[in-house]
Amino acid sequence: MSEIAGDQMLISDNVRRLFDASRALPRARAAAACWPDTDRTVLREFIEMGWLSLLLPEDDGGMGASAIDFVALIESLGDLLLPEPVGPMLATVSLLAACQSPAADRLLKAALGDERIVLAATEADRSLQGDTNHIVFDAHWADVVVFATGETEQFSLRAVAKIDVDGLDALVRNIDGGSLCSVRLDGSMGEELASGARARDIFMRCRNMQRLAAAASLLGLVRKSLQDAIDYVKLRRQFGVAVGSFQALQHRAATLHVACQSARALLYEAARTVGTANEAVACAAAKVKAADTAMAVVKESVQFHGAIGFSDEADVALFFRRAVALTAAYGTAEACHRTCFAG
Amino acid sequence: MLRSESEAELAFRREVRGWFERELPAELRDLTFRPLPDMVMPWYRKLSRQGWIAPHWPRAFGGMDASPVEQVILMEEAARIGAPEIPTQGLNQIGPILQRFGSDAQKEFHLPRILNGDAIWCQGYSEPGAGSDLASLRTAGSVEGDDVVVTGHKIWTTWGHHADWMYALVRTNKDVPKREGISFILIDMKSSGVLRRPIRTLADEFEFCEVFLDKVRVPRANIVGELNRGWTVATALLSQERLILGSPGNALRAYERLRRLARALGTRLSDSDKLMIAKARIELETLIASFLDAAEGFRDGRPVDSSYLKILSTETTQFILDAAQTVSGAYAGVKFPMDVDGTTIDFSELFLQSRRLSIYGGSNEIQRDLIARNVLAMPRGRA
Repeated sequence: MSEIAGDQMLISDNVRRLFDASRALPRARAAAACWPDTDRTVLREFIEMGWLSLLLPEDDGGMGASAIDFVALIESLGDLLLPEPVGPMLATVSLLAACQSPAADRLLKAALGDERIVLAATEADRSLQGDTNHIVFDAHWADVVVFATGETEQFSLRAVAKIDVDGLDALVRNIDGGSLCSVRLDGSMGEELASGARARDIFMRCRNMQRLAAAASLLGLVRKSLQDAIDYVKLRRQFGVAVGSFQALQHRAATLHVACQSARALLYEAARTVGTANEAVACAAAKVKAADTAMAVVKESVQFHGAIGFSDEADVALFFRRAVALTAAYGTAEACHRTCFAG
Repeated sequence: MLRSESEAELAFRREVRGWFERELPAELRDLTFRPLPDMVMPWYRKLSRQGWIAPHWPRAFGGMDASPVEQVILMEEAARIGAPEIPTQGLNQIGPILQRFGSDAQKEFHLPRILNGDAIWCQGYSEPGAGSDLASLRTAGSVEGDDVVVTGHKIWTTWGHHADWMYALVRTNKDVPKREGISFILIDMKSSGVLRRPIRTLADEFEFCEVFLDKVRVPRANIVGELNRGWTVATALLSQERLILGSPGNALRAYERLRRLARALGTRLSDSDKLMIAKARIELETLIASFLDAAEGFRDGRPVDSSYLKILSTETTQFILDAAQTVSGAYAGVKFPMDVDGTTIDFSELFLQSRRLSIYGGSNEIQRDLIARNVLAMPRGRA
């Protein structure tokens, strides 16, 4: 399995420094009080460093990173619980570059130049607020939203400014400080970036990369969460011994270890499939497997901590809430299972 | 397998598929039980002549030295055509251990016989009083001149009643800590004093047996490694065995059953059936990805967390067969394979057999103990 190495290690270290790892968890906790957190200071620096071009080809001035590099970077940042939607932004920028149309190029230039933050809507997952609505995650960060409408030849990939969409500021607050927004987007809105089968492929690639990014974030955060839980039961003493010496906990910890290792193997295997026939199935499988694993780990992490695990003061609370939000975002279990059955 | 294959890998897959279709007799396809030696060994020898019997063995020992991807291709194609299960103790367990610990004479004699199918092997580890606590075994051997004389009782011996040879753990010194007085010995099952009694299993078959050893004389030259140093050999063997147990062969066979069931049910599949199938597929692909990752890591010199693989592969197979049970609906308990719209469907046999997977090769509870202690560094538990 690919360990993070070389350039990605460098970027990861720098990004961790930029986002200030030591402040990361207090910031995630504070998001509850000052919501939504849309302080762009750090994100602007991220963009100024040119890191938004991570996935763009080197010939176009990008960094030419592979999907494996992408996954390694996002996974390595998972434990920071960043409010900034770094993974989805990178995936959307990559989508813009793939369109190769004047409209997309203009938007790409604006995005790389820090004027506009562009995010892509997920496919219209079962919205509770209208059958044909699109769901936009982390809309509070976005200036522009990319979305898709229509089928086959009518398929249209479009971009619309946030201010031109009614309701894009009507955020539904998520438990981790993030948001979702359900809006009606149609072919009369914004401008077209690409159309037809090619546009559909580009949009599906973006969707798959969003799923990979969510899976990578989840597995990054559960690695930390599981380690914290194991460290805790080694320290916590009851009946005169560390509670971690009890087989009831050891076997459950081992089960979680197996789940984490195997979900991670699947994540990197899925990253290898990007650009090949099995991409959609692999990314869907990786997302749902990572989500199932993450939820198992954070639930058990709370349980391993006992009462303090149920307090907001314990970091596990932060991991728990992010895991719930990311499980629901960018490919629900239902949508991913459908992809896996169909493929 | 999700990974896209290179031109060479695709060509290999085509070659394997074509050869299987030509060479595998119809009466050996889609069997749920491992066929008896008379039936299965001709197929074993055919695979051997083709050079595909030992994909994971090094070329120097007559193996294929296949890449992990090629190994998965072979397993996928075997599952697809419904190839029978062949005896694997020689190929997967004692073969690799002799390659590592065997004397030149042992290697020269035994390895070719494993490869060409002249010798079927069984494992003489478990005893009535020594299962998970293997080191407490009591089968005893005493050195008398050039022989070791072995007396004891082995049990749950897979294919012991069909085996030509047994590799066994025998206590050769009672006066030292229990792991320091065990020897690893190769026993010819035709020796006088060997008595075998097959045991009927939960799946109503005779997969295993018990073996009584009554003053069986074994040449000292049949000790692998040194006298009383057998525990080292055995635990090395266990690691190797678990890497192999991590292979997705069984899970692929199980998934093929589920796929056939889905095909036969066609439009009668419910939404909840489809969900079960999608979940089974995700588990299967997770296992394949993990096997490829571990096997490629092993090849590159990365240590293998074999307990994790053993748990993953066995529980994945069980998960897939549990899903097949759910999809089978009212037919889940049907004893023999049935024809459903032209497809032969096995409802219960593989499922019943799969219960043994989490018990043999070191139970999954033992594997979890090992992970907790060795990987997660959790404190040694209270007994």
